[in-house]
Amino acid sequence: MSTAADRKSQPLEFENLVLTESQRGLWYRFTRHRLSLLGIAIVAVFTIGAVFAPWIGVHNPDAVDLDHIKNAPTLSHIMGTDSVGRDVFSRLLHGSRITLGIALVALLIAVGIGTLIGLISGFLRGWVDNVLMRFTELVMTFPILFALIILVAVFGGSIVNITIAIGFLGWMGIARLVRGQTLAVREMEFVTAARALGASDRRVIFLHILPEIMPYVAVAGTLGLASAILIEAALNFLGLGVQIPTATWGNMMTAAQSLHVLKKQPWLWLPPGVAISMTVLAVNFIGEGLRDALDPRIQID
Amino acid sequence: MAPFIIRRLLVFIPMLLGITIITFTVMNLAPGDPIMAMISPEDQLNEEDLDNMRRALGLDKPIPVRYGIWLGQMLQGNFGYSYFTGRPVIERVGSRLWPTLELCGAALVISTVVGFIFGVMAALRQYSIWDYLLTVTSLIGLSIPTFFFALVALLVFGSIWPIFPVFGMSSSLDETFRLWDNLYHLFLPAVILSMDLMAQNTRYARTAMLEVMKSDYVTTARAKGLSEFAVMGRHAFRNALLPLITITTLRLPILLGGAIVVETMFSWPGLGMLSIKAIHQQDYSTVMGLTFFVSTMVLGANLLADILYAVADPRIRYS
Repeated sequence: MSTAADRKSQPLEFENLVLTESQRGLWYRFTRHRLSLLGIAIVAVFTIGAVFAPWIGVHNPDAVDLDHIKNAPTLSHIMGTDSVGRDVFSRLLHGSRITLGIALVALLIAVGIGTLIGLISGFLRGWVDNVLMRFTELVMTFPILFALIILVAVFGGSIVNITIAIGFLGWMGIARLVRGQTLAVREMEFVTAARALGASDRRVIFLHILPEIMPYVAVAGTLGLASAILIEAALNFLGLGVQIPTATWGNMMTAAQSLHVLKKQPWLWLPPGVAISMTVLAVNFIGEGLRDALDPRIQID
Repeated sequence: MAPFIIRRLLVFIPMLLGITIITFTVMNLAPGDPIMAMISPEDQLNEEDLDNMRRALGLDKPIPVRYGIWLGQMLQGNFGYSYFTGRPVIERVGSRLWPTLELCGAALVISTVVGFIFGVMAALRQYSIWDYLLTVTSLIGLSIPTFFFALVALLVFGSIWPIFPVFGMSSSLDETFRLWDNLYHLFLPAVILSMDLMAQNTRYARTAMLEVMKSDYVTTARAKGLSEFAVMGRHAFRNALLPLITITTLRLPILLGGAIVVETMFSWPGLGMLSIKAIHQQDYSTVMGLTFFVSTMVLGANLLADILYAVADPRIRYS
């Protein structure tokens, strides 16, 4: 609005206005950038927590201690104990290994499937593209969480199954993005040149097109990691995911479905809730920063 | 217009069939035997009795044949019988349809209206403190899981400051429908369910509005000497609104997924709460019926969106 007002009052200083606007843009991008640095810092802290879990959390995360049930935080148990006396802080640290591990591997599966389908679809075009894209739309139609609870109920809620299921349900957005980029890149001169030199389709796709669209895959992958963590947490919260006693951030919060725990024992559900939110936010910050650096206009669904 | 709708319908039907085939196959790969779920352990049945039961229920036939039977019956309005209650699936699922439609509809309206107001506000004052606050807040909103929002709402409004009901959709035990009581119960779950989409819509509306504000026709409108209000309201905003139809349908599956969580936590008796229940009961015939209804809803909304878009955007031709 201010820019519009400026434009009206000083129509002749249009160039000057553009300059200030780009200066503001730089400042804005800089603050954005600071947020992604903050994101990197938060992710680093959680990664250290996950990697060094057994050394940071001194208690055994699965050790039942019936003398200390639902104790409020103390110096020994800095986040208190749960309904069977397990140390919440240790469970939070060990839970991060499962939660972040599932999300990360699931994401790699999704990126792999999505990139491959997108590349094939965009490169070959024609009926292959048509079939693959209609299939992608078909899978997109189905609510992921609904599909996930069915798959987990049918095949069992082991860590491996959950990881594969989340990966197999998360590739569609990436496939559509990669297809769009491939369609554009395949018309570029260096691709024509490579083909003129007699390069095979596979060589053109993986050696010439793929590196060109990698930045887009990186952005979509980062934002996809945030979704993977959220969906994994929801599944575990509903009690349909990884089975206890193995801790995940999601299943630690299941206890809060009782009103008594919700009201009287916030140390049982607040730490994992805050951990999930902070991690996802940090990952989103990084994704946003990457996207801004690349091209602020790309839309990823 | 009519040929356009018919062509969309011709796409709709194979997609629906595709989804039911996939679900039916997955469901029948499930370990465990529906017969075992049906009989009680005290029944003294030998292997022959079990085989007879299987044959009577058609469970000895191969999956494609069973799918054919299911499809034939479904087209006649018979969705089979619940493995758990023994009652028709359509009865169990049908009564849950309206609560879910109501909850998702309300969340959709809230997230669209509020999200767009926030997004346009941020775009009109780009780079201001408001823009910055709204952008960061919407990113935070996207990052907090729905169930965490719901837990905090349950704690604050259900316990510390109980001004909203947090259980079910009616204050009385009898199921009589009272509009105000119903809306009063609807408010909190609908707001919680709308959070994620609201944040996404804020971000989307901001980008769309900024894009439109840079376009030539907005410059032309300004050049004509129109007031800033007319330029923004009549030229910019309406064009930013158009792709909203597509965006909304793309996000319907997310909304229905969120409904599973919200319904379970607020005991809202809809499809989402039923799916969790049916999964725990290993009631796969009900899950199959649920799948059919959920996919019909999403695909139906897609169809509706295509038609709406064609009506709203003159650039899209039906032929």
